[in-house]
Amino acid sequence: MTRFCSIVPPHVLTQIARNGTERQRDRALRAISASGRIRERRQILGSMRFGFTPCGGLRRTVFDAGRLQALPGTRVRGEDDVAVEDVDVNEAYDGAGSTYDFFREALNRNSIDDQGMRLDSTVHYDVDMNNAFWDGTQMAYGDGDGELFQRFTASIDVIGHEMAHGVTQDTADLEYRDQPGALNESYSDVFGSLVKQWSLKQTVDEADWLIGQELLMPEVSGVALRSMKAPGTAYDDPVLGKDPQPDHMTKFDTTPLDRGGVHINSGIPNRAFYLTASFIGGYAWEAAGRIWYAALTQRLRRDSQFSDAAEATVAVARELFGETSSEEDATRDAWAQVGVPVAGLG
Amino acid sequence: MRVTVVRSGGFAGITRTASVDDADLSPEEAQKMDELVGALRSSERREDAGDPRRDGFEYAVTVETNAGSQTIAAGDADVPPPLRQQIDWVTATAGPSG
Repeated sequence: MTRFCSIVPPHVLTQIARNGTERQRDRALRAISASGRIRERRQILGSMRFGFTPCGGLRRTVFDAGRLQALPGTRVRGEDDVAVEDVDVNEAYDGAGSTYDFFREALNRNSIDDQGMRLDSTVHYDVDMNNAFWDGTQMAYGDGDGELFQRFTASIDVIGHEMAHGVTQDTADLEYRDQPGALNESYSDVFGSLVKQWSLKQTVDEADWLIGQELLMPEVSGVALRSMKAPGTAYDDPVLGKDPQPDHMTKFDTTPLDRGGVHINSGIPNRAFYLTASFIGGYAWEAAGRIWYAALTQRLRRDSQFSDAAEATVAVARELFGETSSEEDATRDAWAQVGVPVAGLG
Repeated sequence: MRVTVVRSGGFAGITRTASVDDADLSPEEAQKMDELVGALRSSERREDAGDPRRDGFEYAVTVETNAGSQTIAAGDADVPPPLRQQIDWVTATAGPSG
């Protein structure tokens, strides 16, 4: 069994990525990424952008890993192919489409890189894996163990979450540890939830603000994996334990696990987003979503902390909606309520 | 000798711990554990793994002996084969309740 092994040295892959045919380039970039060299890939792609015309529209491909730990696996459905029998394949395909449409229509972004990047997804990754991930170039979904979790394609917000990791990687590239990592995670939850709300045309009050609601098996005592509205309340189960997410800075978790609690402390900015959207009212993607997106793409950096995100979103709200606008007040009040006050103009 | 595997992270961010002490094992199993730990110790240290997989699992494997304890940590996409074998064996041997 080989996983993410490449016998081609990185500098050769880099050459192929620069000079090869499109197919060779794709393979080389995938190999570079699989070895964890996302930054290297970004540099190559960045230098290539001048020479290539973006391909425009939605281009989805779904692969089947056949329960192995290998990416991407066998191609099973491409853009415009009719639905197949495998529900995981169709969910990955449809979810990528909804996420693409959301970014394009609500935020005017053309795919992950804003250049029409191909959307590759792999289903049936590993045996009964209770997980989904973004590997630097593509999404991958496990089947779940059938006891605690079912297939990870079942929740559209999980698909949106994974694709949003690509968007973050392409923009602020928040480092995946400690507070920048928790912001990275929070942005994925924010966009994941917004994809669901946008698809269902739900207002702030109608939305459930849950992440991974459909993943939990009926035996599990809980409603989802995370709650953006009430972090720390999503589940309380004999096997899973209790939802550990804090909803305020005073409960910030300094654990070294989970790369410094990136999936834990994301509860704090998650709730700040929910509160902002709630104070503004209406559709969350229209004002709060735009504010958060502009902060991610224009203000935040690799080492941004919660306080930087609070300052950035308040500043963006003022730019977009005007000084002392209700949107600016909402954003400021929301961060203050989770214990991240923004100094200055108020 | 005790080997403990802590898996954190993943989309769910739920931490799982599995631990095996060779005092509780049959001689055959204890020997298997010795072999796996030996393979782990003689394996090369990995260079810096670069940017991690988003939502990947994070592993920390700790080997405790009378001489002290040693922990090896790695992200999902950067687990070398001897560490993967150790993780899989401890997880299976400790059982699902871990």
